[in-house]
Amino acid sequence: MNQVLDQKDFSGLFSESLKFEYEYDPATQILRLDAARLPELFAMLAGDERLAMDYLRDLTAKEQPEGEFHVVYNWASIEHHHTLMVVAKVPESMEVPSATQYWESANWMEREAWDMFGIRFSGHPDLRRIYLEETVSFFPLRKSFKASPVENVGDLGGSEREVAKAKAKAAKEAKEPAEGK
Amino acid sequence: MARRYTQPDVMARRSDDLETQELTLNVGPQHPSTHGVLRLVAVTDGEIIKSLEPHIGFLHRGMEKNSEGREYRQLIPLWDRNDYLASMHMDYMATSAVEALMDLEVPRRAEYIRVMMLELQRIASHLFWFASFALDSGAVTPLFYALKEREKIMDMFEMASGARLLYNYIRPGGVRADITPAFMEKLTAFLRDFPRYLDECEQLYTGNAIFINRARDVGVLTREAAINLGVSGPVLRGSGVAWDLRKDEPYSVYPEFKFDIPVGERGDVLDRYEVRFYEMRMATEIVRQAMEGMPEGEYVAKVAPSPKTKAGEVYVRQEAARGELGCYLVSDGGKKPWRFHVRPASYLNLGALDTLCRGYLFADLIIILGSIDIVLGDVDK
Repeated sequence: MNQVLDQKDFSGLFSESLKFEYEYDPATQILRLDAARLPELFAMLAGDERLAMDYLRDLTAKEQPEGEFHVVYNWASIEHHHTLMVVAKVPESMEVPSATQYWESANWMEREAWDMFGIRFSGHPDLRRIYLEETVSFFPLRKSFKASPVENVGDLGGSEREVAKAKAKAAKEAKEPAEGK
Repeated sequence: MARRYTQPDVMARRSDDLETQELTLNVGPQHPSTHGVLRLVAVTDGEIIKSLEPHIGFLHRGMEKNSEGREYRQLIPLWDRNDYLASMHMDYMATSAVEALMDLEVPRRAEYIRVMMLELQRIASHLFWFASFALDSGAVTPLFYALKEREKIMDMFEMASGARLLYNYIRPGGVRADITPAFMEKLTAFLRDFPRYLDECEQLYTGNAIFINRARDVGVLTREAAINLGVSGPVLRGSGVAWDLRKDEPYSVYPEFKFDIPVGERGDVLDRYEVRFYEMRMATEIVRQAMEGMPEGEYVAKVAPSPKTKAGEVYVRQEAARGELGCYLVSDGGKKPWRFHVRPASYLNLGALDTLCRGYLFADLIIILGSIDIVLGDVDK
């Protein structure tokens, strides 16, 4: 487990600036809130000199047993040597404000979260799937997705060519017996 | 100041009816210089790169989904295939995440062995980087020299773990097997010879005028952009940010070791090159200190064959060969992870490639890509 050199208790700072419901545990440095409140938090983390969270090191998502989704952010301050983990509850619309306008590193990581979980990031400049093909119809890291052989060729990715190949093969097979006669 | 290429005057003087347009160039996915399976789509104006888009995912194996159905011990041999040039770091990543959610006293000897192996792995990985980077910049000879040295490290790893590439050596509680006197003998010989080898390499390549002309002031990344883009490791330090998790967010027994962190000045390809070379020297120092200060005792703590963790969530990170290797583990208190997310350093470093290449010549693309040292298996998970 990493030790953080200058970890501070942000309770005072948060209660002063965040005018909405949140949970903060200084022991684990985890802040929990609703994703709708993220723009205010982003502005504070990037703008407040005492926080100066300049390094968004990780962004991912998880699904809870009851089917609720969370987006998880991990920040570090290179200037102050402190860290913060933020767990934001995703609304049913599956739409979360994007962090890209403050941290460029969010760009690819949000694309990954969209690709794997189907969480949309509003305000993202280029929200496309990053690992899988656009033709894929599922979000693999959702618990409802079972890792089993894929039936639809289009879901294998790369797809258009393979679908065309499969069609051509089927057409050829249909044609050949006729020629044989 | 950074040298950014601009359009030569001749373009302004040409006749008006000459039609010009931007050209989209495709590199890869099957290209020997892309270090795996990577497709780059560059929009060029003449020879200058206007924008560049990496397409990844050709090696996507669904490792995170795969991890959810496995017990903690099974995660280690699964993940050390992810970054196959730095398997020890991958082993340690999975191990440290599991250990963070267990009440476990890891023996000091085990921690020392781990540090020793992690640093040897850093040297091996950087040597392979040197080989392929030299190849990217047009020199073939360094490949043979670097792989010869890397072979020695792989032999040592084979003595310790039984495997040459994918070790499955570091595990919850300690390491798989104790190191032997024969290993120590081999390590002593390696530590004696290696600094001399590095000097040789520097003579051969670092001072080479052709190389310096190609690498200096190319692929410049400013300090602010580097932090904002989330790059890490030698790329971040090459841009002048003194940020090394071994010092700045220490883990294992690293606070007991003395070493320096190299930092670049210009943030160009040459700086990243020099940072990695200095890191190899420092890693040799750390291995030497670990060898000299190796405590006696157990090399592994008693851990159940299929251990359970506490319920909770944790983000652990370490300074791997390519940068910050993070792991976010969510456990529901069972034997298998509920969510296992890995933040590979190569992924975000590759994300910065667009910024790095804009305004430089297309011919510089491969040397810039070589200088950020990616492993596509690591990027694609």
